[in-house]
Order: sequence, then C-alpha cells, then structure tokens
Amino acid sequence: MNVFHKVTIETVKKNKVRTLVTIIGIMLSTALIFSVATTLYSFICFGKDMAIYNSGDWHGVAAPLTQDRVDELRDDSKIDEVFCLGAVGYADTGVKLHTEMKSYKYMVIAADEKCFENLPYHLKSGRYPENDSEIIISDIYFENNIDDAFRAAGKGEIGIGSTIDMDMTIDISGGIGDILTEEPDEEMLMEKASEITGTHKTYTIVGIYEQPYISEIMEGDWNNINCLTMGDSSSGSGIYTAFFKMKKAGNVGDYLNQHFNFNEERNAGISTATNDELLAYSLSGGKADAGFLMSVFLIGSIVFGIIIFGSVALIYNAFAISVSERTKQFGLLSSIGATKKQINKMIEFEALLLSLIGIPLGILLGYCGIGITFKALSTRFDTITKMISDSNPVPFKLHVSWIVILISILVAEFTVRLSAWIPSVRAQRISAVEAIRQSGDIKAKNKKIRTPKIIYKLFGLPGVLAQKYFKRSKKRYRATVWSLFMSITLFISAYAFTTGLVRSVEEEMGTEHYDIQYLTSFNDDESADKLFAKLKDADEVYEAACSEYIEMRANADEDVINSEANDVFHYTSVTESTDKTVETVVFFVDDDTYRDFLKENGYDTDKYMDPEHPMALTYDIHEEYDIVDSKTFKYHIFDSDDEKKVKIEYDYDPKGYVRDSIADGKIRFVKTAYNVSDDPDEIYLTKEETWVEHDIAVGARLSKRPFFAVGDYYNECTFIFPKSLRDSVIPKHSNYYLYSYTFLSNDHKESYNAIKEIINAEGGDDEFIYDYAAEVEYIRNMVVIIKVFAYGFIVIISLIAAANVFNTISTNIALRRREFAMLRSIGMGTKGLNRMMNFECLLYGGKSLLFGLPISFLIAYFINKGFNSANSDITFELPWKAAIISATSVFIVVFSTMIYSMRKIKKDNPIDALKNENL
Amino acid sequence: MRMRYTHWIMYPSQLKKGEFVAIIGPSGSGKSTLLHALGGVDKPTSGKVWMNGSDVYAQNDEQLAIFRRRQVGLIYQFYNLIPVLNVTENITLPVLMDGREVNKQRLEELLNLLKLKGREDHLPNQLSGGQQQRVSIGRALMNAPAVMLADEPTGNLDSKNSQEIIELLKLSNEKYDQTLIIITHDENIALQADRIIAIEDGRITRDEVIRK
Repeated sequence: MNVFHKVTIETVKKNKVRTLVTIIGIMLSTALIFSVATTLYSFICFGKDMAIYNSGDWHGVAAPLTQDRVDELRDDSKIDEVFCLGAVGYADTGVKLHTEMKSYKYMVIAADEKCFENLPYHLKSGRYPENDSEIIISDIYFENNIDDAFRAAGKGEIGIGSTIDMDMTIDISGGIGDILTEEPDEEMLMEKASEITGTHKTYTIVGIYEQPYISEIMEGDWNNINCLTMGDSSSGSGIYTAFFKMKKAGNVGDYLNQHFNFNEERNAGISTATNDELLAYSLSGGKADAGFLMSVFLIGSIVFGIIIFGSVALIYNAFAISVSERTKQFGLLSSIGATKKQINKMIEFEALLLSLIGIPLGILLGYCGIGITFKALSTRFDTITKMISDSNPVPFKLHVSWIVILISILVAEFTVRLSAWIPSVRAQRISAVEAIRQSGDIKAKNKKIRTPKIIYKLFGLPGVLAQKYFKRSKKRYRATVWSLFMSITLFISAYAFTTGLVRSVEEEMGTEHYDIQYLTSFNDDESADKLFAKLKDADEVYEAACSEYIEMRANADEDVINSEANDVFHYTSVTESTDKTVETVVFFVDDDTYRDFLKENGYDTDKYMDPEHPMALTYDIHEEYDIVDSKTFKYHIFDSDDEKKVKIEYDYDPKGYVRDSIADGKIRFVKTAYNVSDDPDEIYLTKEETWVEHDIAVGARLSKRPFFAVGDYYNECTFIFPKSLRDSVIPKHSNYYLYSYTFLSNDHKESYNAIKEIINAEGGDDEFIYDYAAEVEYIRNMVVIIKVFAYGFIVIISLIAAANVFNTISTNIALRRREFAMLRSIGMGTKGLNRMMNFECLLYGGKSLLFGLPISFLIAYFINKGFNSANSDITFELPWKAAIISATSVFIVVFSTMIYSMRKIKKDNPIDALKNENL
Repeated sequence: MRMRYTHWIMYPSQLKKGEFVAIIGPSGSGKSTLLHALGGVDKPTSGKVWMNGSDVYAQNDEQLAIFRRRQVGLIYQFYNLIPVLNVTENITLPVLMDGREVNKQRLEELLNLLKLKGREDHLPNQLSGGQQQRVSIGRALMNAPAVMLADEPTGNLDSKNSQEIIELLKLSNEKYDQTLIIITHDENIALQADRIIAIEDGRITRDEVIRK
C-alpha cells in the first residue's frame, strides 16, 4: 500500500472520536438526502398510480380503426401492447325520462381482457364478464334518475343477476365516444348496420362499474346506459377504439403524428389522443405536464440545497480540522519531498475512506428512518388519499428505486468532495517552513483587541483570555457559530410555519361544526319525516336535525342594514326601490331541534315559534377579504336584533312540471314523467306567475351558524324558521322540496356508513352524503404529516449542526492542550480554566443567538404574512417557545462539548504536555 | 541571496562538496532561514541557490519536491517523525514517496549503523529522544543525498547522545562524501567541523576554515 494511504489510514484511526463524528455527519446527511429523494419519488409514483387508476394505463389511442389497422399497430416494433374496445351495438330500452326526450339506449361495448386491466373500469360490485353473454353495467344507470324512470315505466329494478334482452342495432349518429363521433366510415358502418339490425342478444349483468369520465372512452351521450362485455366486436361493427402502450412512452406524440397523420387519405376520420394525465409522470418526457414534475424537482432542489448546505458546513469543518491538525505532518512530508499532488491525494483519500463507510450506512439509516415514518403515518395518509377520491384505493406508499439510491449516493459523494475541496487546497498551500514552525495556524490579528472592563469584573483574567482568544481567531469559530445560527433559524422558522398552518386551519374549520350532512329532495314532507325518524337513530349519532331549505333573494330597507354592509349589495331589486337585495337561504328546521336550540341559547320560544307572527332568526355574518390591507373583515349584515321587515322573493316550477325554455316572453314548462295526471303536456306562464314575493319578520342575529343550517352558503344571509311555520311563511308551489339532514356524531365513520345503509334501504339516493368530520380529520392529518416531516428534517439538520459544533470545539481544545498546560504551569487553577471555557461557551452561544433570533423572528413575521395573504387572519405572535427551546439546546450542546473535551485536558500533567512532541 | 522576513539577509558564499560546515550565531540571526533556503524548502525573496551547477529554485514545485526527496537530507531539533509510522517506515519514507522498492541491504546497513536493530516496528512514542533522532538521521540518509542539513540536531539530547549523533553524522559525511551543514549553539560541535560560518543579523560575520 502507498505510504500516503497508510499515513492517512493510521491518522484517521488515531483520531477515533473526530473520525466517528465525521462519519456520523456523513451518515446523517446521506440519510436525509435519501429520505427526501425517496419521499419525492414516492410522490411521483403515487401520482402515477393515481393517474393510472383515474385514466388508465395506456399512452395513446386511435379510433375508429378497422381490424387491419389494429393489426398494423400490434405488429409495430415500437408498440408494446395494444388493447381494444369494439362497438357491439345499441339497443332501445323503451324508457324515457320526459316525453320530449329520446328514450334511453343500452350501448354495448366489447372489451378484451387487457382492457379490464388497463382501463379505469372499476367495479363497484360483482365481477368482470367472462364471456360475451355477460355484461357489466355502468353506474350511470343509478344516476340522473334513470332508475326512477325505469321504475316509473314499470320496468322494475335491474341489478346483478338480471338478464336483459336486447335487439341490437348500430346507431351511427351516436357513435362510440367523442373520438368516434367524427365521420366514421359510413359506408362500412351502413353495411354492418344492415347486417346486425334485428340481432337479438340476451345478456346477464354480472357487475356494476364506476363510469369513468375520460373523453377518450366516454361512450356517447348521457342517454346511453353503457354496458361492457368480454370479447372483440367481430360480431358487431368491426370498428375499434385501439389503446396502446409504447415501449418508450415519450415517443407517443411523434408516433401518432407519423402513423395517423390526418393529411393522409387512409387516416381520414381517425382521431387520436394521448393519456396526458399518465404521461405527465413519465420521466422520459412525452407530452409531459411539466407543472407537477417541475414542482417536485423544484421542491427537491430546494430541500437538497438546504441539506447540502448544512452537511457541507459540517463535513468541511471536519476536514478543515483534519488538515489543521496535520499541518505539521504535511509540512514535514513536503520538506522531505512530498509533492502538492501527493498531499492533496491524502485528503482525497481520507474523504473517500469516510464516504465508503458513511454513505452506505447513511442509505441504510435513511431507508429505516423513512420506512418507519411512512409506516407510522400510513393511516393518516389513507384518510388523505380517501379524501381525494372516495373510491380510490391507491395508497400512498414508500417506493424505492435503484435510480433514487444512485442519485442519493452521488449527491452525498458530491457533498463530501465539495467539503474536502477547500481544506485540500489549503493543505497544498502549507509551506514546509510554516508548518514545521507551526506558526501558521494561529494567525493572530495585529490590531488591538479591547476587552470591556465588565468582563474582567465578572470573569476575571480567564474571561479576558477567553474574550481575546475568541476575538483573535474568528475564522476558527466561524464554523461553530454558523452551524448554531443555521440550526436556530431553521428550527424557529419551521415552528412558525407549522404553528401558522395549524392556526389558519383551525380558523378555517372553526366556522362549521357539524359532522355529517345528507342532501336530498322529496315530493312531500311525510317522506322526509319518515326518513328522518330512521336516520336519527343511526349508529353513534347523538344529535340530528331535518331542515327543508329554499334558496331565494331578500330585500330589506337601507335602515335596517348595517352601514358597513352597504358595499356588499350590488343587485337591484325587481321593484327598484331603495331596498337592498342579498342572496339568502331559508331553513325550516324540525321543531324539536329548533326548540332545543332556542332554549339553549336563551331565545324566547313563544316569540320565535308563534304561528300568528312568524319571526326568523338570522345568521348574517359576512366575510370579506381586503387585498389592500391583507386582512379578512367580518360583520353583520343587519344592524340590530330588533324585529325587521324583510321581503323574500324567488321563482319556482309548478307542481308536476319542469322548466324547459323561454319563448315570446313566456316560460315553457313540460310535464314530468312523474306527473301521471291528465294535466296538459306543456303550459306557458309569465315570469310573474311563477314568482313569489313575501314579507317575513326577522329577529335576532346569530354570530355562529347552527349545525342544522349549514352548507355552501358563504356570504349569504340565512333565515331560520321552525318547520311548523313553513306554510305560514312561504306557500308551497313547487313539485319537490330540498332537504338537508345534519348529524353530530361520536364516530363519524360509523355514522356515515350507517346513514348510507339506511338511505339505501329506504330506496333513497345516497349521492350527497357529506362527511364533513372526515374533511376536518383529513386536514388535521395533513397538518400532522407536514409537522412530522418538517420537524424530522429540522431535527436531523440540527444533529448535523450539533456534530459540527462538537467537532470544532473539541478539536480546538485539543489543539490548545499546550496552552492550557502552560496556563496551569504558571498557576491557573482548575476553577480558572473552567471559568475561561464557560465564558467561551457563552460567547459562541451568545453570538449565534444574537444573529439567529432576530433573523428567525423576521422570517416568522414573513411566514405569518404569507398565511394572511392566503386568506387567513392570524395575528403575529413572536415564537417565544421555539426561541427558548433553541437557546437552551444551543447552550446544552456547547457546554456539554466543552465539558467532555476539558475532561481529558484536566488530567494532563502540565510539564509532560509542554514537552511532549507527539501530541 | 536575500530572504525577506523581518530584515535583509545576504549570503554570498560557496560550499565545497563533502565539506562539514558548522553555522553558529545568536537566536534570530537567520541560521534556520539559511538552512531551509539551502535545502530547497524556503524560496529566497531574491538571489539564487546553486547546487552542482544548477539553479535550485529555477525548478517548479514538483521538481523542487523531488529535489528535496533525493538530493537533500533534513534533520531537525525536534525529530519530526510521522507518529503513525514505525521506525522502518519513517526511515524509508523518501523511498516510499518515490514509489520505488526499498533497498533492503541499505536499510539493514542503516539500522545497524544507527543501532536501531530490533526496533524496526516501534512507533516514535515507544522510543527515547536519542533513538527518535537517530531515526530522523536514518531518514535523511536513506536516499544518500548530496547534502545533509541539520538544524540543532542535538539541541534536545543529553551529552552522551549528542556526541553519538555527531559521530554518526561525521561518519556519513566521511563515508559518503556528503556535504554536511550543521546549525549549532554547541561550541564543542562547532569545533569538530571543517569550517565555521558565523551569522549575525542576517549577515555572515565570520567564515573560517578550521580543517582542510
């Protein structure tokens, strides 16, 4: 082995503690780099998985294609996989929602096996079809009142197990999907159409799937009930929608341009598209939506930057110390003939050695750390991913790849090399003479250093010495002070950020306080009440309310409006008076709930439940964000709690009819399918005839929205009446009424499921059940997750900084061994030495806090401003807690390092230390 | 030759091959500075150093390093051994730096001469002061350099060890015809040299040949 290598290895072995601390520093920064890289990579994978779940696992699509063109695709070497949807045909159901509408059609599409794997046809129940007599049916059937229409038409229920007889045709006006609606090969279609018209097919429903909303596979218009069967469409139209995956995703755009160029005749009528949602995650480019990947890389770069910065500070310091300690050694080697290159290589070798140990261990540490973190947070991640999509089973998991490991190793190695670079340059510059004399290391400044008298008074001579030493060798202590400063700033900033986040979230959440809401409509009160009776008793529900609600406008005289609110109103009333108009919603809440509410809040039940003189409570808080002042203003719309006259107005559809169009100043209403009476199919009414105007009395203003009058009604006024006063307030005109059921629960998940079950059992529509508590939980979980990552990051950076401080201080002390021995030999006792070192500690800690605290407070102020500009309203509070924690930690680290290092020194015999050459 | 430190020093002089020169003078007179300049360790501010007809400082850093390795043997008052290398490694350091094979015979010879046989694997902190200085001399002799420069080689040793060291150096000087320049405060040692040069305030105040 090369002698220089041997010297380096032995030197490294000799300074066990410093070597260990440096290796730990390398490990920590590698671990951090790896964790960050892996987290970001996991995000990208998650995004990709989500994209696949939502839009499917394919790159490009072309349609309509004949079998020949499909085969061409399959044979192309650039194509990895091809799977097709084929049109089998349409079948009339004979059911209409309205007389004016077209009747619903079954649209049967054949899909091969790969389609079910790669396209987002997610089963809600049942299974996939296994042959061409089985179908799965789209859940569209259960929406848009299609199932009601079926029932109304006497066709009963269809579901899993049902068989459907279909007379198949091809309807070329409908086409298959957006893509296919442009000029399909009419001739061929007509041919096929005449072939299969009148073909009878019987299908068995084996599953229900969630209708995907992607235009490339949107099948026709909303009157189609889509059904998927297994197989190709050779029995049908012979036209295909071909999805394909390229071997290299990035080339799909070019491929489509080349092979499906619309200028070529054979491509006439063929449309193509790319799966942009998935391609956005393709690292090989493609039609990448740079946005997401860019933000990931941007965040990654910033975080990497911080890590590298902090790590370089530590590792650089370690090498600087190493060089400094070996100054004499390098000088000696230089004097007996070592070249600069050889000296440089020694440091490079040291860097390599420490990397070889530190980096692999760091990767391992990082893997364990981030693995444990992900596992611990997995339930919280789940609540968040479920929020994104109710039925989305894509979990946010840890993904590790070899590329990520390689990148981490390279970045870590780069960090170490960068850190060793300056010290190695310095080492080369050491002149043999300087080194031998060792005069270079302590380059004291020549200028006069004044020490304030107070230091002498408090700390005596030791203090003065400490002060002089500190001031004359600033460079040496720069690293220590800088590391501490960085940790303090990062810690306090992270604290300010997470606190601000929590406060703004709580402020946002604070306005609503209900757990679950269910919105639906009924034709009559009895049905609503019947359901309410059942829902009240759902599992874990402890309070429930049933309210009918109507959205309308309200006019009130200027006199009763709060002057502050004057600017809110921009609408002019129909009557063009001095009245002010505001959008409102009126709630008619069940009497029991209302009575309890009045009692709990000290309102007079007689006053507010008097059928002779109905009076509403109002929640009239208006929130406005002022960009100029960066503040949110809140005020009441009405100026007092006294009784006020308010005129409400709205328009309605007559019972049994639905609004269709406007012609000649009159509104045309058509009979609904439910209206089985002898009423005319259409009626014409003027606006005034369908217009309601009514005076109501409004009383006390509420400052908190009650749980039974909630919803998406920001900046609107809410009036609340008991249900019993419904008819005296607003006469019933309409054909259906909107209801809101709200619940408070001890376990929102259980209640949500129970409520859903009850609704389904009663034959209701479970689409608009809203688990608000879940959203709150989701946001809270987000905050926890952000906190975990933020603090985890800070803690590790701080450990790196602490290691740095330890290294610097302990080595500086070691280098001053002779000096301490000299001081002891001329009579300074242990107490004096201690005082000197304690004072030095105060100087380090003090200096870093002197810069760190004001700058951190400034950063905290800007963070607070940032939150407020994003629509929060939090007053700025100085992060005292964080400041105290960081100050305490700084002094703990500094003092404990000092105590540890001095322990060795104190055992020295001063004379031996002075004489000993081999220190 | 001029060296700029705190004052001007001028050395117009010529030394013969194989000469044993003692340089004496008070502290701070520039003796060590001169020695380092001669050894290719410290470049003069102005002027030149010629050795065997070549300008020492006309070489680049790399060449100078190799010059120091092969042409010069430096011995210091404080032994300046590499603490993590053993006796053999410290002695053979200049050869190892060259990446060449160690001449085992020469090493044996030196170990015997320096009375270090049996201590080949010892580390410096396992040796006495005298032994450490002998290792230092061994290192200086290993490449059989043209010039041996010793800066107060006996300053840290007792009288018995001191004399032993001087004998070794004289032996080497005679046997290998090496030019030997010793800086010393010790009159006894100075008087053993062929020539004494006295320096004061950077100037040669006396240059006397004692022995031919």
